[in-house]
Amino acid sequence: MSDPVTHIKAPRKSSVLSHGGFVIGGSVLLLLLLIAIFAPLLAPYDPFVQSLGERMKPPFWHEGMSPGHWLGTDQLGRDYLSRLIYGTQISLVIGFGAVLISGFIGISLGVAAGYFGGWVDTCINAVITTRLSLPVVLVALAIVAVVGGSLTVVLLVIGLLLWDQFAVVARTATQQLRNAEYVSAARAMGTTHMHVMVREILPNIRASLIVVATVEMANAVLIEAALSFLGLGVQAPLPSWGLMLSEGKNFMFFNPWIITLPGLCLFALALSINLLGDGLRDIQGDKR
Amino acid sequence: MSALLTLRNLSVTIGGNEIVHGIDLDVARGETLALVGESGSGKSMTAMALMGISPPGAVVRADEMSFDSGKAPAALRGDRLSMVFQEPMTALNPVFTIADQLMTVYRQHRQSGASEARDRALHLLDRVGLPDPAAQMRKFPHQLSGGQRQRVLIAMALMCGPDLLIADEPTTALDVTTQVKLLDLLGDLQAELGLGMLFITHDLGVVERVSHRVAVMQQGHIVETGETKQVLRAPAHAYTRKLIDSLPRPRTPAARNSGKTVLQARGVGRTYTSSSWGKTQSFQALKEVSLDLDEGEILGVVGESGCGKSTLARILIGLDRPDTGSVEIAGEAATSLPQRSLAKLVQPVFQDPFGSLNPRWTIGSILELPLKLHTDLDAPARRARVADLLRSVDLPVSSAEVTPRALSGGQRQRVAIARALAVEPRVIVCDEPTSALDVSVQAQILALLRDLRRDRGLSLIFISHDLAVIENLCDRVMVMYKGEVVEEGAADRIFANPRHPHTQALKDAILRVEPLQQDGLATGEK
Amino acid sequence: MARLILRRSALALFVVFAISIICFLLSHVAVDPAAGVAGDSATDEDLAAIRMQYGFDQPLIVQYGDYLAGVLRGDLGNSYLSGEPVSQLIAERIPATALLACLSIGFALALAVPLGVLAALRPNSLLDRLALTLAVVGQAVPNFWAGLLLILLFGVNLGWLPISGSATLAHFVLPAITLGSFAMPALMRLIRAGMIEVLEADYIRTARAMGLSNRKILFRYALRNAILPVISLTAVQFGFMLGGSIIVESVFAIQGVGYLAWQSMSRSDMPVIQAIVLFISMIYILLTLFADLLNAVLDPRIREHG
Repeated sequence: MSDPVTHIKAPRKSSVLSHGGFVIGGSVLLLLLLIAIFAPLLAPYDPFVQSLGERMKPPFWHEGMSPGHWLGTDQLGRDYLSRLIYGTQISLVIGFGAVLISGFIGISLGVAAGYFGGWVDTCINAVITTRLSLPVVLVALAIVAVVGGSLTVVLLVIGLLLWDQFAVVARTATQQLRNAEYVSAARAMGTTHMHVMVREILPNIRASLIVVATVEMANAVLIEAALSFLGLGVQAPLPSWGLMLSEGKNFMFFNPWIITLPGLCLFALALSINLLGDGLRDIQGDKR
Repeated sequence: MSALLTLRNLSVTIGGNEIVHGIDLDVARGETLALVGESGSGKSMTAMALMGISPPGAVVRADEMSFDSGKAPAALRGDRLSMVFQEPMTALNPVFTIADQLMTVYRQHRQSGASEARDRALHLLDRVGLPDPAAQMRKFPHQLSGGQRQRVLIAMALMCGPDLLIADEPTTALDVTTQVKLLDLLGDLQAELGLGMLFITHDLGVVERVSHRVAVMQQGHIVETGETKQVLRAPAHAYTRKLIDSLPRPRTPAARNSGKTVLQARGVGRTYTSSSWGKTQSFQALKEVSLDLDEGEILGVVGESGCGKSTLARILIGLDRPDTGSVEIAGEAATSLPQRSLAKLVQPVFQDPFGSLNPRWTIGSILELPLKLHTDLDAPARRARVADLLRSVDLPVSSAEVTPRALSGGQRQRVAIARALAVEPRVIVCDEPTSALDVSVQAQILALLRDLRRDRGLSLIFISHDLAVIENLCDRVMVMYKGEVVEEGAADRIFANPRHPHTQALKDAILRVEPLQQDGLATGEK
Repeated sequence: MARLILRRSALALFVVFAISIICFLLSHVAVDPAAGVAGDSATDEDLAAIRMQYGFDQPLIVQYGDYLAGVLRGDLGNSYLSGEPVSQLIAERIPATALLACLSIGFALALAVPLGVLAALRPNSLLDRLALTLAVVGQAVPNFWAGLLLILLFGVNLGWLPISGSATLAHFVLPAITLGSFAMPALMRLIRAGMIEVLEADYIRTARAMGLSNRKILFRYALRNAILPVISLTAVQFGFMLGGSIIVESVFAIQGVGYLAWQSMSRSDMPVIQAIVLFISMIYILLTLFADLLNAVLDPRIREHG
């Protein structure tokens, strides 16, 4: 006679908030997100309005600052603080947008390749290897040089180029799970391939993919900044931080603040995304 | 006999949890002490602690840990005392040759030249029974089988001529026939070299076979120590008694039924081919296998690794299609049915309790899936059925809310059984469902399967490598070897009078422990 | 082993073809090549004449064939701007870029390997946390910004190093640090993660049980096992540097292939752009092929099963 079983272990409460990097990264990112959303309310001036009498005014910690312009003005007299604030919109749109596009492409390809194997895997692997062999920045620049630069173009180009890590990680993770017994059980139950890929496998590879998403998001932000810096990204007069760095570098020898500030913003955004991603990876590692 | 190893009040703490609670152990020169316990008992931790190779963060305390009157054992590891581990597949470094790894150990402790080390290695490889030692030396670990690797690891442990050998479940990952050969080898080596051995295992049959004395461990405590024969015949502690009682014993099989056949396989064959760049390799996993299963019958399929039993299981479940032959279940041609329909006829229960349930789903949704796919029940009706299923496998209904992580191995296997029952199939195919469970938990699951057969008239195909389990549960038995069925018959007959040499080999590999009578004493001992 | 080489080479060949098609499309289809040759002030008659002369009116497949034949000959077309052969333009600038890439990867490895190994030996220690912080910061800094800051700090304020041009070796120090610091974090983390995984492996436990000294275990066994994935990543990073050098070269005005690429892109000089893309891709493919083969040499399991 089998003994009745009565005891079940209580699930451990997660210690998400105790992980320092995760908290800092998450808070900064949230802050920047709020700044982007509420930019029209936060920015003291219109970022496009030029004021030729107020050109190159330094920020408040230098003498000679101009009242009302806390972080100074740029070479066309536009308020720097306002331009930095509106710059968050551009970077975050690129960051989230590119990750959504590249994530969709990469995860679909990777899971399909890992699950079906055989010639499907061979073909997709060839596509992935081709994409990996392309120098991303060069190709992005080349395409923009041909098509002309704008926010939409940059978003699409980056999204269509950055899917490789999603595909590689999804493919490897799916290959490892393909022979898991719960996958066999689902197949034995008569489920479809789509069910297995989406409902059985995908939830179990989510963890690694989220980490990839944070890395690629940071990459997307920095690539846009690089493209704009080289003049082949977002076009003037939009307040892209990379573009601001490019415009400012001609004046940087005597006005170092003009390149310090946009760079710091980029650094802060990329850092917070990376900390968030690392934190997520560590937390998920603990839960196992 | 002088004491070789003495441990007094050894405790090991990891991350605030005390894993080993102040135990005492003695091993004398030339004797084998078995340390037996279920998973989580702390037996491996004890060995690693005394060798000085505990995982980082472990705190080891002891009043005394002395080797050969006074020396610290940890300082002498690899030299005067050495260890052999459980998983031969991963215990050798994959990028170095056998020769390299053996010689490095010797030269580390003996400061000898290369040729002396090489000679010693060749001698030992021969001594552990590996053919053509010179050729083995040049190989890499992945070119050897599990049993061969384990022999290499034993040779490595003996390179410096130790006085004490610690073996941590060295044969658990191997086939039973290989296991028996390795146990004999260890016995011979002990006799010839005068080795003391600390043999760690969960298997009482192994304890009976190899040890002079035994210490029984439960949750970090040693509950009983003594001469093996004494402890196993007349155990003093309740836990020891429970371990012996949990061992599967042969039973009288159920009388053969009306003869109504529910599953019939004829001439099933399966060959795997892999080809790359014009070179084709093929492996015949199954060669013309036939079997019959009657309604309400439990058929056991037994064989070693590579015999084809897993391939057969996959074909019966529908995860693979045979190249030749046919399978009929309840009159329907199973091999040509779509999986959706086949699933209603036959369902699996797999081996790994930690892998057969999707870790991201709740138990409730795992059990609802088959209901969603195969019935028209609405959500409340499905949930009621889930509750029924949980009750029928003796799990509390509240289990439906949790994920598999909250359940133990035995509990998860019950869920797997409940899932198989959900569609009310005609046949359930169990592929080694208790092999990964502790012996006491295994006994519960086997009892559950027996109850379900009695109450629901289930027909089961039960695949295992463990002959004691097969003898305990099954009515009829089929022995497989290299893709063929070599013998078949009633469970009580087939091992009493084996006809095929492979069946005989399997029978010889069974390690028996005498069952206890009502008064707690073993039979045959008055 | 031979099968492995064949398989990898076949894949590499396929990829080279795929990329050549992409480059061909860039230069012959995305823009009107005739307009590029003729310049802005061309009339329609000029364009038609140029099409006939250069063969731009042929079917695409024929044009691709000519293009491919040209590439194999070493003829990558002529620049729209200067009219010089592209292959010559690239060849003149390879030394600078190659030097920059080598110095950068050297700098990255010199930091990544010791830090990664030391961090893995003492996980969660102060050193480990410091190394990981360095990695996270290094990954988040936009490298063109870092370049500008380095110019300000070392070039202007401290005046230690030259900041523009590629005349002397000293000119390459700041650019190498800038470019290398972007690759360093990924390498360091891989080394650290790989070492941690290896140190937890069963075969290391066997080695410890056999009483091998810690030093021997680390240098002989663990490193040997952990090095494998690092080789592939180093090849990948080296390839990235060749492609990513465009930013660093333009900030520091190094006369390399990247700088040439940027100049061409600002002026839509298509033949040069697509040739550079093709060239860098091929180097990258060769590098990864070499890394794969090196892996096979070092890991006997790969030799047998691919």
